[in-house]
Amino acid sequence: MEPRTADWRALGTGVRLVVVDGDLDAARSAVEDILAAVDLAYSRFRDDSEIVGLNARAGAVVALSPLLGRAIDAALRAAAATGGAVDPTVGRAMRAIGYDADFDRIRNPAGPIELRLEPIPGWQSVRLSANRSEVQVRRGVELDLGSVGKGLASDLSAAAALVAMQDVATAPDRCGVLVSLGGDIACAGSAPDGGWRILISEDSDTPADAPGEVVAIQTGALATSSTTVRRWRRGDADLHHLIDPRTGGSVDSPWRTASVAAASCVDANTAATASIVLGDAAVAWLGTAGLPARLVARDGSVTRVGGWPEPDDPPEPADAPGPNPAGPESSVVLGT
Amino acid sequence: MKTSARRSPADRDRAIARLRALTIGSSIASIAAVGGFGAMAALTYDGSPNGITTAAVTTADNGVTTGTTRTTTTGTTSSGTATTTATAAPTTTTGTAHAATGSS
Repeated sequence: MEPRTADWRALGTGVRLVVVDGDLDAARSAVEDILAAVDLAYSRFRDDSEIVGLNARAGAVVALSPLLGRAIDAALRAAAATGGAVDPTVGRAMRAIGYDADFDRIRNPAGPIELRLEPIPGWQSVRLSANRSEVQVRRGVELDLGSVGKGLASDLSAAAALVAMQDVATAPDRCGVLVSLGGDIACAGSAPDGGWRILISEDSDTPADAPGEVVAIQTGALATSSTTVRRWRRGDADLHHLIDPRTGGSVDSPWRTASVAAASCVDANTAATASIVLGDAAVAWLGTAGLPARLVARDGSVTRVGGWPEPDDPPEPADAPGPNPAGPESSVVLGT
Repeated sequence: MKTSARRSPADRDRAIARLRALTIGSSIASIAAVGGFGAMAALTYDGSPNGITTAAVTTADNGVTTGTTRTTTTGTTSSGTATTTATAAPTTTTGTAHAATGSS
């Protein structure tokens, strides 16, 4: 059976669902439920979300829902696995650089802001109980689950969609699903013949049938982080959403985009984001981790590591601007 | 958040049960995954300009490399291990893609 597709928007980004040998409506319903639960658990941009309530109670021991407990655990694991390059304690830093509302509301140019940058508190300021039912975040620390949270949402959505399809399928073993949440792709179940074909792009809004490098995966996940898409300006300062934990500002990386394949979307997104933050050290780190990755430098040149295939790909677009968090109309205070 | 008008209360109950199973079951899966991956790396990101150093990497009896995280009073994770799990490398292919990866 040919794969069938549904597209819609949720969590401020595009969702693509592709199923093979399964009930598309059942899969979509399952994904919508997961994304609604995710939105309520760890959206920074709705006042009634669980994580907003948690951040407001920093310093106290707070009971967690299973979903938020799972997400914080994933974020702490990501921080540990990357030595803190991907860290959930970037909430205040995000707000400091102006990312304090849904991106659609902040992307338009606005006046200069005063940037007071300082290293983030670090994931060691978070205590999560062994059963993930309680957490204590040091006073003054705000959590933002960011890329890990989105990757987890993709993983859970794919798993839930597969279960929902198998519940109503006559041949459950043949069911397969791909979920793309803003370009963070997770697969579950059986892949179509030849695998899941994925266009490697810097912008997840790129149509899947656009020209470019296409790779296939049979299982697991593939995610991309980039400094080129979620960008905004405040005065003369050019900002993006990937935080350097050392400075608390937008990271200044030799890589503008990183795509990584891994067993889960959490891991793929963690490694992709870490690659941007780690900079030149990312190549060795990815190699040691055995993670296939495609790194795009600022000048558009591509470095492939960990067995990422060499295609007959067209050249990347021209240079993209790097971050300039210290524009002339901004004051920057480094350190605490 | 857009919701589907197709769902009945029974559908909703099944969805909640599914989410509960996923969020609880993933704990077991994440621990089990430690024995199933090929390689991992743990780094210490100490904030210095060149502050990426390999650290806290040990080799378990089964030959799988694992990274131990802080297990004392801060930054603890539920299983005490932190890994990134590798998978087979993508392959080059042709034809229209099912989806596009990219930043959002």
